[in-house]
Amino acid sequence: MDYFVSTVIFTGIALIGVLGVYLITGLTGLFSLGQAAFMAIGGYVSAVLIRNYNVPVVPAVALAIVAAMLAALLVGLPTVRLRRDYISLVTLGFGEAIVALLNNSANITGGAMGISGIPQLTTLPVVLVSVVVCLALVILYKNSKYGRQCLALRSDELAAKSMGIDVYRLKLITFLFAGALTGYSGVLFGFYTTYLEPAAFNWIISAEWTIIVFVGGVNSLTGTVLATILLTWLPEFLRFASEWRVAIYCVIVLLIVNYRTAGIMGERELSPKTLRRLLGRTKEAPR
Amino acid sequence: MKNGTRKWLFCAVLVALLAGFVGAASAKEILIGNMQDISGPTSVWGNAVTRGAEIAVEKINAAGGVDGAMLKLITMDTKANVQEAIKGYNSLVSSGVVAVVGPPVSNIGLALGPIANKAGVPVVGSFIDPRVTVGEDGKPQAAMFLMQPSSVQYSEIMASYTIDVLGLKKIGVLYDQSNAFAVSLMKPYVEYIKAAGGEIVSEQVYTKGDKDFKTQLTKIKEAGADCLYFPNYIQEAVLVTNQRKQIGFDVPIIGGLDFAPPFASLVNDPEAANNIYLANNFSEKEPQLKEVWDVYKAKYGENPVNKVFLGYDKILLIQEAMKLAGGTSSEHVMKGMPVVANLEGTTGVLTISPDTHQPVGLSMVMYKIEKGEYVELGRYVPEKHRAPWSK
Amino acid sequence: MSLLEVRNLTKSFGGVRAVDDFSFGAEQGEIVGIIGPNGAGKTTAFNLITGVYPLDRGSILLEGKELAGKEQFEITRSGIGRTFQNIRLFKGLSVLENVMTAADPYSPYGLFSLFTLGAAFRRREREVRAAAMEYLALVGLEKYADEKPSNLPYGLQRKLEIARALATGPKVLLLDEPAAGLNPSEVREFIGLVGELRERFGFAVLVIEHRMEVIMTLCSRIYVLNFGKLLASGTPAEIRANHEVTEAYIGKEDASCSV
Repeated sequence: MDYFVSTVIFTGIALIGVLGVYLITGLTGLFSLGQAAFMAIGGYVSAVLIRNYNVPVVPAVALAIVAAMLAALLVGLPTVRLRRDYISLVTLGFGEAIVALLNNSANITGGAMGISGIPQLTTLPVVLVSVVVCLALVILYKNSKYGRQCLALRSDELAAKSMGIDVYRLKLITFLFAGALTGYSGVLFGFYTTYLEPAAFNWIISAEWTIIVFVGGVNSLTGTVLATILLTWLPEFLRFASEWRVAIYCVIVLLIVNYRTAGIMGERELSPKTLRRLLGRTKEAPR
Repeated sequence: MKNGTRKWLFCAVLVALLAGFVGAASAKEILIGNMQDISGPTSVWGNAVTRGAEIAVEKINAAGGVDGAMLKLITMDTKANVQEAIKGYNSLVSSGVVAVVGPPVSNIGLALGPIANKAGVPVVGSFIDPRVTVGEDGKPQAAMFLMQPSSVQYSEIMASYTIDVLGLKKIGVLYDQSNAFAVSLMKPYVEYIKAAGGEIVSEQVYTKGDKDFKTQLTKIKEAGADCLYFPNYIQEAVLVTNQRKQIGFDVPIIGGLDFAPPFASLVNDPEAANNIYLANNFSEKEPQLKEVWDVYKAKYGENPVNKVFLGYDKILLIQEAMKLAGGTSSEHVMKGMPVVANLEGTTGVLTISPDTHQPVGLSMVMYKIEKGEYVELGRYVPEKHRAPWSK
Repeated sequence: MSLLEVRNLTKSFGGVRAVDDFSFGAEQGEIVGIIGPNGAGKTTAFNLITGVYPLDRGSILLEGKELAGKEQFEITRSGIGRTFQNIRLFKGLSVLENVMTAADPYSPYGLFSLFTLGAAFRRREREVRAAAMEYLALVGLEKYADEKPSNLPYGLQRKLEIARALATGPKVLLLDEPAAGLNPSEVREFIGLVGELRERFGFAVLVIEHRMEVIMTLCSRIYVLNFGKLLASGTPAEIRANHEVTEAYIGKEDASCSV
């Protein structure tokens, strides 16, 4: 049971982080290879505030999210005007710089040895409620003026500007929202593992999240959610393969990306309308 | 409608069957978990510990098992990743293991502590970070046990040897700031040296992936150090040893476990691999190793590395704890572990302190590398480490 | 004061004068044509007016207010709408959403209203949707609202670009070769549509076009560009009679032919 619960909790935490990548990559077409750094900021800020300064939980979590958003502002301001490929380079550098900073400020962060003894506050209900709330916020964002304008600038930035869209502002807002979500996933992570180390937040995590968004279908939020669940549970089902586990996992991901270039869901979304269409079809089938 | 109910029934039966399979460890079997990096960056260590543990399990089973029940090892991959390890531990607990052989990675131990304390299934590992077994309140972590010297004990052995035996007092330190293992071996060393009247004349750092250490080495040389403490991984140890020769910095290196074989043959230059001191868990010549050594060599066709013996001794400890507590459940292992005393293991005589859940007075075998050859200097333990109840 | 007044528009790319000292204007409700051979700088002039490139020199006055130096989105919001020579619809969005997106920059609600499902958000979403449907209906695309634009035939994609430009609320509408790729009956239909829209919204229209039928029927004034420079300007009749224009288009030998 604990095993099932802990896997669900990690899936939920990963999902909230991946939602941030979905906003940046899926919706806006940018690449952030430093997204895990926001997770680190969220986790570390809340942990240090609670452990070292006895700040109560709610303000500590709020401050952690604010800190992640400030960091997003810091990276976002100079980068949103850059070309897309430069953004991925700058965010990659930012992410690694945060890891180096955590290593160097050993008197606050414990350096490479990490912070231990963080209270375990993340429980299954907390994660489930968080996932529902974060997912609802992202669905709203996608289906509002923000989401439409993001998709517009992703498909044609010049045309988007010509339709009166302030693309820099929009990218920055999306970046901040994504930073807040990813920061919050870091808070949940720290409060679940009770231990944080800089090495857990390197660019590989950011790259994995980007892969998840692509496997799901860059334009589909439903696909992103499905791919997160699939790719966090897949390694568990592959445990029987022991040392071949990682290799098999990679082959499966490659096959999906190769044979479904648009991802599992492509651009489709699970909405009441498509659901009705699906149900309608199965009802008619037996006749 | 009828069809639907039947489908549900079928599913329910299937789930029940599966649950039965997972849950039903046969009465004659005692399950022991083993969490190691099998597919990640440190899988060389993980595989070595696993093989050692398997040899111990086979030996115990051949002698009739524990209380007539056979031991069975279930191995879980951690990928050297905290998140994977937590999932793996919980998975092992679900399958009903009574104890877990832990990985030689402290970060995982730190994350597992609170979870294991709650689950009540003890982890016996070689985590060198003392925080794994002793909480911040100074009390031992109920379910976490260490079976080799902690980083504090290990660095103190090295520091004591440096200053008390070799008489070196002006020390230069070089370490990887981004590596938990290196940092945890550096701090207690420096503290011991300072307390014993020595001096750190230069402290230099580098980060993961650096290949050129000549700048740092030159600074340490110019600071007038009479030895270099370098607690790092084997790849960097080889580079530093060669570069020390290139800049003509001829003082002893005080190193860690990573200078143990096959280090000298990797340097492959007797002029460079010279004047280096290290401590190992055991000496190849020690008689208690022979049995495991021979079994391993026959099975895998190569000489065992030290992690094999760590894996072997972890199983011995779990067996001893069961014996002392008079039962084979996880509660018994938890109860027995802290009172293990004078257990003859392959890596030394193991006595677990109930206050720290760490071994007490565990000595290490000192070596000096001279012109590419390992010269054994005998076991060493600082005066400070000897506990009144240990041998 | 003209609605749109462009003075001394100048832009060089790597030493080549793409647009050279081009001045022109448009009154409210007027349709102005810009013609010229390929590479004459027509599209560049549009890109300069809409802020895609910064000007080297010149000024662009809309209702007397300077637009030069402003950001692209600011220029659009001050009342310059446009379509593109090579259709640039938003692929990830539906037909309706393409039009809604052009109205979205005027939506005042913020994240707070969105995340709390506030009244401001819900009301504005309804408004934008209704307005977008209306624009689609104007160009006859309302039944394709939920389609992806890539599933539409070429002629309808052109119409969708116009509907999208309408949603930006233009005072001046820039159409860049809107009839390219249309068949003769579609061209006639298009001419009618532009006339209707001008009647309804009263905006000025600048149109770049090679199909002389479009230019001669719709425009009250025509500017002819050649190598970035203004070659001639006048009413359709004047331009038709102009020998320099004929030469620039067809070459000297065929000077006797009429355009």
